Amino acid sequence: MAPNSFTKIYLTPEAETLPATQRAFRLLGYPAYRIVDAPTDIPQQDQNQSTLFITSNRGQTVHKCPGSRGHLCCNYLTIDLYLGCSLGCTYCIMKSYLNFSPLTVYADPAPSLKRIQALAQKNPHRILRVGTGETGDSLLLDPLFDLSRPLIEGLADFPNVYLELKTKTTHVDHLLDIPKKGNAIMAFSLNAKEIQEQEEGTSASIEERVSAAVKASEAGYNLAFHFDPIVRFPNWKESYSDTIELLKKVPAHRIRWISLGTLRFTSALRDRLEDRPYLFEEFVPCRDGKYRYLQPIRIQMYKWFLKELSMWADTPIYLCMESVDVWKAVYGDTPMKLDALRDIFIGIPCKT
Amino acid sequence: MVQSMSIGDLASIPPLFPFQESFCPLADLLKKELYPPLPLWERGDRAGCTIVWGKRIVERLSELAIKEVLVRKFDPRELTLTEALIVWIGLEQRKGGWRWTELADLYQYVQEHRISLPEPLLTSLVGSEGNWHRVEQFNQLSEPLQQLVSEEKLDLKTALRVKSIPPHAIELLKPVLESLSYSERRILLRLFYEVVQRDHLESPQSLDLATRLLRTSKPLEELYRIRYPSLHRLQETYHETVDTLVKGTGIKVTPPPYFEGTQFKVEFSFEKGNQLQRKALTLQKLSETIDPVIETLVYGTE
Repeated sequence: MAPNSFTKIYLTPEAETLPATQRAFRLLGYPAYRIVDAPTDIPQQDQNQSTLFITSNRGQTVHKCPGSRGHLCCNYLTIDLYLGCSLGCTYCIMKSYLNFSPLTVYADPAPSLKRIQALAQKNPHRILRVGTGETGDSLLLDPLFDLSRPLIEGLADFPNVYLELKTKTTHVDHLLDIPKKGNAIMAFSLNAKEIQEQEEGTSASIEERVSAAVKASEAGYNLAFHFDPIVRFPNWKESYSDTIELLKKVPAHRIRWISLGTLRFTSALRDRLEDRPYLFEEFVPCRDGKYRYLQPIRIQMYKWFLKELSMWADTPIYLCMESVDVWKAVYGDTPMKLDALRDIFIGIPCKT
Repeated sequence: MVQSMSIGDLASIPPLFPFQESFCPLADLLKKELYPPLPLWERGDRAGCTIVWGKRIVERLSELAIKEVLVRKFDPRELTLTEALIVWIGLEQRKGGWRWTELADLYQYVQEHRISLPEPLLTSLVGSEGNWHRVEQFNQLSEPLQQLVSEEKLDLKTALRVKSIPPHAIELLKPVLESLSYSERRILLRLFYEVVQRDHLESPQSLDLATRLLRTSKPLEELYRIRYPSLHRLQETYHETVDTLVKGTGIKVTPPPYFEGTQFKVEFSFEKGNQLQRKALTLQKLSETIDPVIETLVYGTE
């Protein structure tokens, strides 16, 4: 989906004059829009992903990643800039709760920026990992709204802050000219070619994502990669090997971290997902209520990835939302006891 | 205009709608003569009349040797087809309880004649206007699935999920389905569907699978084994090793659910020291052999 293929646009009154809104409207050719006080005022027939809703964030702007009961979380901080995504990945967790919501843009990043700056000052010896890709793709709509720019610029002077922009697109060009990038990280979700082609909607191809990563690194950005969700299918090793091979085009020293997470879903999400071949594998309920591949199978898959990736890149590789038992089986210990991963997992000792 | 008409004449008049009315209150209606003047709809062009509602009452009255009954004739200017259908539904006096098959007939008629039913009427039929599309979904089901749903042996949601199972396979599975509880039936159909999808089974292979289930005394367990072969292998390994070793010793060893986790639980009780000694010996034996089993079950190493 092109980032500007909205059928309806709604704004809250205070969003009308925000610079990000003005920019988007200019790029969209000044489209028609309607002012509403709240998202609930948007008519029922427009409560879908073809509708764009622009507002400022009136509540809390920075959150801790909610994690998953009984599973280790990397204590990531999240900023909601974009809520919802129109790429159309078949496995998307947001299908279980955002299907009937408009794509929402929180067009005023200033409060989030201030909050992260304050947290960084208060915890100068802790690494703060902050991302905007928790509730939507960080860069899908960013060429229109340019909301990542003030965050990159505003956090560039904080050596302990790693701002991560996570995407399945190639939308990096508008951010290449920022002179001071600090520890900003362009992060790309990766998968096997077959999975991208069949299950990741209108996302960029894996080759295109890797090319965008190369471009971003040449402009001075750090990089991160997320193999998530890792899907098991016939010849999965060969197919993921091809992706890892492609990744070798990227300068390894630029990679700050790589995460691994096998496919998982709640039963509510399963009910909403259309039947795809990967769903007929064997999944079992885990302690957080999510369904995952059998533990021995996951362990073998993670070990394989760890071996393949470690052969090439000397960078922290961690598991996303996995149990202590799986961590111990794959790494021999939990992340807090591993030198390479402690900084990533330690988080900050305060409320957001 | 209300007028009297002979039962004989009425008996030869066809019903307007191709579906039959309900008769729960018929006995009462007849006893107390509470039925209204039967509405007749003139087709125009001297094509005669049709009975909007009450065909079954006429049949019953003829059996009771009643000669005449009151009728009310409408021509199409007085009563449109839509209004006639509304009259039909109203005279049914049902408080819910419409069967799926009846709703499907109604739905088909409404579609064919481009009739738009008012919202309150749809609510009285299916609970809410939004549920009307569920009737369309019901119509998409194969006949055996429609039958299961209309007999309230299966929910519509599950039926829709499994609707691509070849109808012959469901027909063949009927004895198995009848023997299961409601929730077991849902699970079996869901698993069956998943195996059909996963293994890309064509109709003949689906029939083979159904036949295989018919021939086993525990069809649900058999289907689980087919759907979850790796999990089943782990369970078998556990059974052949740990279970077999502690069988008859009064010791119960519980693995983590679905082998998710690494904690095994041991339970036993004893009354005397020698009993405890026997348990300890068994546990000693278990401890000497269990590590490779644990490696396989929870870590996946061969």
